[in-house]
Order: sequence, then C-alpha cells, then structure tokens
Amino acid sequence: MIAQKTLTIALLGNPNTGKSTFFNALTGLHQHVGNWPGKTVEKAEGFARLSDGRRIRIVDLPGTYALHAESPEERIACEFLLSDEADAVIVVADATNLARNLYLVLQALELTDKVVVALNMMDEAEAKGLRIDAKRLSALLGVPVVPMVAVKGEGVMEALQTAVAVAEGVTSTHPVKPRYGLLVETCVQKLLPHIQRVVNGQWQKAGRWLALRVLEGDELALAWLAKGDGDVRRLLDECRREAEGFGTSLDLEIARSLHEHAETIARAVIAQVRRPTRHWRIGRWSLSISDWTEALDNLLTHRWLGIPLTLAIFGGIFWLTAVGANKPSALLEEGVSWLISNLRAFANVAGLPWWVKGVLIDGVLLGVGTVFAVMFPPMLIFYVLYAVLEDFGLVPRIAFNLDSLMQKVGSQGKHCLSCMVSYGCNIPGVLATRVIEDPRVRLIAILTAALNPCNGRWGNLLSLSLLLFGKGAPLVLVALIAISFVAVLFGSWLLSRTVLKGETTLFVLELPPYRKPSLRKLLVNTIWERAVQTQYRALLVAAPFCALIWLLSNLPTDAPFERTITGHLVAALNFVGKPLGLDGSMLTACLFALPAKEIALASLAITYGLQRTLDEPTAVLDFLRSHWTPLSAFTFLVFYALYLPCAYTFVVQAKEAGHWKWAAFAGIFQLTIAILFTFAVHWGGRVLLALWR
Amino acid sequence: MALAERPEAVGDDRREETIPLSELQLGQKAVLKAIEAPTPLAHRLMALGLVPGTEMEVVRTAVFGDPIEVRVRGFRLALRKRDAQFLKVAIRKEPAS
Repeated sequence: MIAQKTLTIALLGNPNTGKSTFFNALTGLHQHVGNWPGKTVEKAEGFARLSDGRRIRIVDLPGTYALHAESPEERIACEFLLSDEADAVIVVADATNLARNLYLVLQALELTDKVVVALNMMDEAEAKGLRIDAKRLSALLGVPVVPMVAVKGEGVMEALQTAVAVAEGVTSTHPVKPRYGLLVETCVQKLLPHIQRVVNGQWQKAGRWLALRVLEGDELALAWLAKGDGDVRRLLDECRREAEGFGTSLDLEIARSLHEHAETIARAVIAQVRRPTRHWRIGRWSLSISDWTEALDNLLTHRWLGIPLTLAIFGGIFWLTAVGANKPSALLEEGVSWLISNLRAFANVAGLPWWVKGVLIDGVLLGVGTVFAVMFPPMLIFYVLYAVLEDFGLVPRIAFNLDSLMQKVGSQGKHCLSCMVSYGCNIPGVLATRVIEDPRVRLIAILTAALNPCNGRWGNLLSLSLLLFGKGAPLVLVALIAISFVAVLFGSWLLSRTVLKGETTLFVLELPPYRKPSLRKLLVNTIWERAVQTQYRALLVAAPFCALIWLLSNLPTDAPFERTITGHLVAALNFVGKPLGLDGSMLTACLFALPAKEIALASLAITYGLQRTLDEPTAVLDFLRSHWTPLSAFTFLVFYALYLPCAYTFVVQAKEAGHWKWAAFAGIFQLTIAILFTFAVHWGGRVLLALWR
Repeated sequence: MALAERPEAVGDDRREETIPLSELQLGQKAVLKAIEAPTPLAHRLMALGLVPGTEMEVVRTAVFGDPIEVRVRGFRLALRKRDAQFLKVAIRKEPAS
C-alpha cells in the first residue's frame, strides 16, 4: 500500500563539504559546484534511481554550520526537516574536518532519528594520513556511517541505499542524544512540557531540539511557539536569569557542550596513522597538501602580491583562450563562408524566391554561422579554464583580499562571490547574493550583479577582442574585467551613499583548502552543460532573431538600406551614440541583443553586411577589423560589457529584491553607469591619443 | 547594533589576562576566553566552534590590514578586525625552545 510512495531523502551538511557534488552524482543534475562556502542557497530537487529501478526524490538543502534558524539558509533547512516531508536525512560530513562537521550531525540527531552520515572526502583525509574508523563512529552516533568520495562517485549509491533502508525502517537507528550540563538540562526539562503542548507531528518528536533553540534565544523558534503559549517566553527569562547567576549564558553553554561532545567523538575515531602522503616534489623540496595550501596562500593572499597575482591569473586564462581559439576559429570561419557561398550559388541556380534566400542565407545562416565560428572555440576554452579556477579555491581568497576595499564602498567581501558567479551567468549571480547576511548589502549586490559580464557577453567580448586586437586581446579582456569591477565598486559606492545608506555588518568566511579540480566535472558539467548548451541556446535564440533582423533590414522591399526599418534605426542611433564614440550599428546591435546577449555579433554581421553588401562571415569580420579604430572598438566593448543584462535577469532581480520597482531601478541605474563609463573611456582615450601624438 | 547584554563568559582561569583577538600578533598562539560579540555574530562564531577554550592563531592580514585570517580547529576563517575585537583571548606561553 505505502510501498509505491516515492521516498524523499534530504541532504544536509556544512557549506563546501561536497554536498552538491553528491547531489549531482545521485541525480545526474548539474547544480553549480565550486570550492567556496555557500553556493547552494535554495533547496534544489532531483530524482535518483535505485538499482531496482525505484525513483527517490532528493532534496539538497542549503549548506549550514548549525541547525538554528538564524540565517535564511539555516531557516530553509530547519523548516524542511521539521515539515515531515523528508523520510530520511543524509548528513554529508567532511572527513578532513570531522569534529566541526559532527556538531551539525549531533544537532540533526536531536531533530530526527532517520539519519545517515555520509563521510565525504575520504581520499583527502587519507592523503592527510588520517584513518577514520567508520564502524566506531557509527556505533558512537547510533546511526549508519558510509565513507564516500563524491567527486569520484565512490560510496554514493551505498549512501543512498543505506538512507532508503533507514527511511523504510529496514535499518533501525538509535541515535545518541547529546547531553548538556546540569544547567541546560534543567532548563530543557522546564520548557519541554510547554512545548509539547503547542506542537504536533514531527515537531513533537523534535521537542528537545526546539527547547534548545528557544534557550539559545533563536527568535524564529520563539515565533513558532509563541502563537500557542506565552509561558515559553516567561520560562526563558527565568532560565536566563538562572544562567546569569552562574556567570554564563545558555547559548554559550549549549554550543560548548555540543562542540565538546563532537570533539570527543572525533578524537575517538580518528587516528593519524602516517604522515601526509600526497605531496608535490620539486627537486629536494617536497610539499604536503596542507603545506601547499599554506604556500599558495602566502602568495595569493599576500598583502601586496595577492591582487596583482589574481589579475595575472585572469590574464593567463584570457591568453590561453586567445592562443587556443585562434586556429579553430579561423577554420570554422572559412568553413562557414564556404558553406554560405555554395548555398547562395545553389539558391541562384534553383531560383529560390528572394526572401527565402535572404532570410535563410543572408539572415539566419550568416548571423548564426558568424556566432558559431567566432564564439564557440574561445567560449569552450574559457569555460573550462574558469571552471578550474572555481574548483581550485581562489574565489574565497578574492573575497578575503577585497573585503576592506568593498567595505569602503559600502559593501563587503562576499559581494565578490556574487561577482565571480555572475561572470558565468548573471542569474545565479543574483541568487548568490544570498550568502550576504545583511539585507542592505545584499540589495547593493543584487543591483550591481548585472554589471559583471555574463558568459553570453563574454562570448562576444572574447571573440570581438580576439578579432580586433589579436595578440593584445588578453590585455584588453583584463582591462574589461577590471573596468566592470570598477563599475561594480562605483555602483555600490553610489548606492550606499544615497538610497541604501547604513552600517556595515559582520563578515565571517571560511577559507577552504585548495583542491585539485575534478576532471569529471570539467568534462560533464562544464563542457556539456555550460559550453555546449549555452552555444546551442545561443544558436537557437539567434536563428529567429537573425531572420527578424534581416527582415527589418530589408523592408520595405527593394529600398536601399538607409530607408529600411533598421536603416532608420541606425541613423537615429548614430546621432545618440556620437557623444559616446559609438555608431548606429553598434547601438542597434546592443538593442537587438536585449532579449539575449548572444545576438550582438550576429546583428553587427547582418547590419554591416547589408550596408556594405558583404555576404560572408570572413568578409564581415575583415570589415569590422578595418572599419573600427582600436579606440572605437574598445569603447564599444566597454558599453557592451556593462549596458544591460538579458530580460530574465530583471525577473530574478525583482524576485530577489522583493519588488519589481527594484528591477526597473536596476535597469536605469546600470544603463546610467554604462553610459558614464563609456563616455569616460571614449573621451579619456581621445585625450590620451591627442597627447600621445 | 548595540552590544548585547551578554554576561562575560567565564574562562578556565579568571586571573589570566586577555586581549582582543584583533591585537594578537601574527604567529602568536592564543586560547579563546570569552565572546563579547552581538548575538548574531556570537552565534555564528559558536556554530563554527569558537567557544571558550578553543586554541587560535592569526595567520595573516589582508592587503589593507583587514580582514585577518585565523586558524582554528584545523580550518581557516576570515574575520574583520572590528568583529575580532569582541573575542578575548589569552596568549599561550610557548615553552622556550
């Protein structure tokens, strides 16, 4: 009868313990993973399949250090676990940092009996020379413990099978219930009857956990209970006074006891069996893992070298992209040109009507072909390199390095995490602002998120830079990333001085060890999910738009380009763009690219192509190369990098900021900054060039 | 945000002299004695395992002297100096080598 019910298994764990990697391995989905804490900010769902074919619902909860409901992510986790929805919980624990992870495990055991511990990163623990006695740990905790290496898929299915067995009651658990000191226990006993009276269901089972949260002064726990019982608050005050009498506080005593308990268990199951094994040997020097995190940090978070080195790393990525993409792009361009000229010849012979020929060949094929040829190779290389960077652990170091700078403009270091995600795509970039605890700073980060070029924009920026600046492209791209970052700083400063004034608040960030990027993630997630899918989407979106642009550029029929709709648009925008050093075709391209960033290049190709009757990608690209001066090209790139995000970003901004007015404001605000920066670059450049000569 | 009315937590030894963590020298080892931070920060730090009796060490400071990187319980944490000043620590006297 209940056998057919789909079981729900929740994944809980500290931030950055490989929980999302585990989730991806179970479900075949592609949650964003990277080496910094706080990527999963909303619960994600997927389905896993057991070997007998049954489907199991998996819910990935946001990473959290503790189970009290003080931050949004902790709240999501707590409320889900209390909701009765989860049939079992897998707590993912980092084996290299067991004591701290056991703190969360013990709290989970207070909340529910149906717990399985997945001991992740066993390979790293082994490399550190640690041996963890999983059997003993399981005995001490009273729940199953499964060793796991999620990146390699080891132990993943075992953990799921175990959790299913626990959910179905096949495996019974007898979780240890941590005991606190006499003071806390007395208070719990005082509160418990009152709590049991006002809650029911899963909440009743979690009564002890609720009592402890109330004693900690967790406002949400109080709010959960206050509806039914005013006594709780009175009793809490009584307990607090009692604690004061002992010269301590309840929250501290609870935390201390639980950490001591976790520490005791960790000490009992971990043995340092040998010296760290995995090390890098350079001549006579050999560095162990902890040494090389230390050594790298000495460089990457060095007071003076840290920031220049980070920029140099970005420069290196752009350089490798430029070098690697050179040949394949040239080949693809030639291939597409060959295809187009042959198809055109064929169309002439076959006598196809002008509009079929025009829309399909001069519109769709020219546009899409150009996009594919110049964007795909650099994008592929860039994404892979960027994914390596994310996995490696540089991102939280950037937040560390830049926190005080961000503080000066009214923001904080974690804002940088959102910027780094935004370089991939602005939408998760906006979501990533949830790691920022302070709502004011978070709003600043939401409103400035889209100033960071996303991968759609990077595709165009990379290809145009390579096209127009050749060997100078890496430098141009580093300049663009620096300018976009300065725009974020400027925007934050402006906001924090005007509409979003306020105090700066806390900044606590864990700096994880550097990790070797996972090859599997690179191949599956990055190349497939990010690069190929983005390119596919770009082409899919580009095709109808190219057709539309071509039609707009050819109606009314037989009119010269100047008298077509696009022609008028170009002429009008020519006038607007003049003070910024942009021409009408450039602005038209930006306008056409509003629904999706990938169109810009196709639009340039079509509008310039028609104006000059160029009919092959190679010819259009050659024209761009000779027609744009370096300054006008750079000015365009700056405007394009900053001007506006795609339409969907606005939707997410409105949702996250809580009102559509914020999204509208974000658009106007961002466009203003883009115009200011473009203006400054254009006129600054002109003055510099005049002085140079 | 005002300082919470938090009674000063008692460490192992009342007589020991404490300094704010923000004033600890690089490389000096210390033991946490009390957290006098506002509640949200205090709870965040406690969840991470920063409770009285915990050993800690300041590993480095960032470019503009802030934040600081603290090594505690085998992991590393970035903290701002203005937050670190709420953590009172006692310097651990190393036996002379």
